Amino acid sequence: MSEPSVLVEGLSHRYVRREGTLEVLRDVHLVLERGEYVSLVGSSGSGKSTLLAVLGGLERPQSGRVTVAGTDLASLNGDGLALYRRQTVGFVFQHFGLLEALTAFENVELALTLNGVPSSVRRRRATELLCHVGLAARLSHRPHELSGGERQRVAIARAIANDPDVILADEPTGNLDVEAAETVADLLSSLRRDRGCTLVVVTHNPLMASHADAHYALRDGRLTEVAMQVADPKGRSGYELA
Amino acid sequence: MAGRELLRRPGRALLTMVAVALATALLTALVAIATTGRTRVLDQITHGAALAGISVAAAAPNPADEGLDDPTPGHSKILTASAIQAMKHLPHVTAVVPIVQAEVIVIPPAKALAGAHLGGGPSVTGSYGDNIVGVDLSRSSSLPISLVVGKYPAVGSTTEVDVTAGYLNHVGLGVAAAHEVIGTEVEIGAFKVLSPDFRIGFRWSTLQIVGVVDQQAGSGDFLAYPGLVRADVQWTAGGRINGDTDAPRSPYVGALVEADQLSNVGEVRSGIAAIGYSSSAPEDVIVSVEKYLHVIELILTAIGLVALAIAALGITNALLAAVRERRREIGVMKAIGARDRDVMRAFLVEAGCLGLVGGIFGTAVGIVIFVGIGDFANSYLTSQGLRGVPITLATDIPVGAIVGAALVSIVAGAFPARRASRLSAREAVEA
Repeated sequence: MSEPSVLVEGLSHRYVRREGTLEVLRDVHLVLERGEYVSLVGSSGSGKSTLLAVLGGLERPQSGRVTVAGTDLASLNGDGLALYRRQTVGFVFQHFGLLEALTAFENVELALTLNGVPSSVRRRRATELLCHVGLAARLSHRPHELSGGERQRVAIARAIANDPDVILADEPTGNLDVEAAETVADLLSSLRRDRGCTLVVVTHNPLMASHADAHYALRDGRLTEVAMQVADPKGRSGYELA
Repeated sequence: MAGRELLRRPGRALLTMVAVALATALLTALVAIATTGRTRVLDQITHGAALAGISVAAAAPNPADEGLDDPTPGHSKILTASAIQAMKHLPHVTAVVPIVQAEVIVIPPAKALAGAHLGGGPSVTGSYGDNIVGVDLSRSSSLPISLVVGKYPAVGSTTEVDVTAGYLNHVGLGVAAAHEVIGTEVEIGAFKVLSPDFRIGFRWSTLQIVGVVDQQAGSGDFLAYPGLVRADVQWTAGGRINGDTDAPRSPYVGALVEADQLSNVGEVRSGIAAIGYSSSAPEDVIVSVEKYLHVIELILTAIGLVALAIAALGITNALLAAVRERRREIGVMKAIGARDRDVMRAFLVEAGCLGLVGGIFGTAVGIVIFVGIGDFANSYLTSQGLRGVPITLATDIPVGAIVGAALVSIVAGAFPARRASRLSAREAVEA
């Protein structure tokens, strides 16, 4: 049996603040195979962002074991984590996370530059990626000249620039209209099909979640698998415990 | 990328650069003015000669005045060619320029219209006795000679001459009108006693005045290349065999010796005394004045640096504001793989760009200020009959100002850059 793409065992995480200790993740277990697509829900402050931050190497795991693509994140130092973020994971944010001073092309190219890709290669690859997400005519546009959906597609192109094993998306359709959300949902879904990426997507969008193989919910820092309900006639959706 | 980030807040970037530019302009102008002032003051002391220049007199050294900058020479002594050769071989001597001088009768052009003639020469009404000094003017930068207006005679010329303020007085002109003598001609006659009835024979030269100088190389109102003067000296010396005991027995009335540096002037002077000649050099005065000038330079530079430090604080403030505004972007950069040092470098480059651009503009403005003040000072000085200041700027001042502004800016950006680099990558996923 092959090694899981994501392996989380007994992960707990807490923040020590002036007003007291806040335990945001409690004994979290998660196993994802390569190419698996899971959605994650939870109320505000339930620990979703912290779980993504730990999986993405933005924060070190405080306890338990977190292994992504065979890399034990606890063993990485600052530069090691930066390399991990460059090569192993790709982020897609609700706020898009594009650098406003750079064009769409340069935003994608930046990820390649940080990974040490030679100039000629990264120019070709950045162009290819933006063409792939349907933005061939928007290469030289700055983020403020793009629609929300276009910005998120630039962000996706940037996230996959270095062929990561895992894509971590935090409410990727949260700021998009229905049409743009559909395009982004389809695009993210295609990543596991075309590139074999593992996807962990925090979303409350039923359309987005409908592409997932499994659904997880975080409540009081505990992760549990849930079953997705069919959207009601008013377009709302909900989850129930599996 | 740094330029684009700066252009996102053009007003803030512009104001920060203006602060750097103003500080750099002030620093450049102050340093340039201080340096020029220093050159002018030392030039005044040395009369344009090299700082390590030594005047050798055709006289024996005076043991009572040994070690003084300007001793009273001992008894007159012929300065021979062999003595000059010996001086050339002294340690630390870089050059020896002999001075020749001839006694002449001068007939200014305005006075040569009428009058008696002697021996078939030109009119001598209004004439006066003076000296013509001969020196290798191609080494004028090392000699106590400063050009007030015009130029030096062409190299080796026997028809061109420079005059001093003394000649201007004789023709009724002030120093402010010095340019009026340029291009005019003057008759100069070397004389010798003809035996046996003491009749005087002249050797007349018609010389074109090409410049006005301030000179301390010799004692005379005329300055020319040695060839012309040597011929006059030989003419006069020719009379001696006929009984003129005052005629010179050596063409040299003195020499100018240049040491390799000011600190070696004393040793060279000792060597000259050992050869048997008296010398003078304003070394002690120069050392003292240099100390005072150095203090003034330090004060002016410090004023400029304080201005630059204030501008640097502006850069720090602007970049701290940028860090606050771009917390999320910094987090995103880290989320896509930027290391702490990548983020730090980005901010340092922004700081360096602010400093470099501000430094270039500021230096340009500083040079304009310097030239403007120099022009104003020169017009005032020349109206007062004084020599102007050289409006030239050593390359290291603008280069140093630009590089300094960039470096100070980078140092000023170090704190915000470090703060940015230490921001958590988690900022990227914070709403």
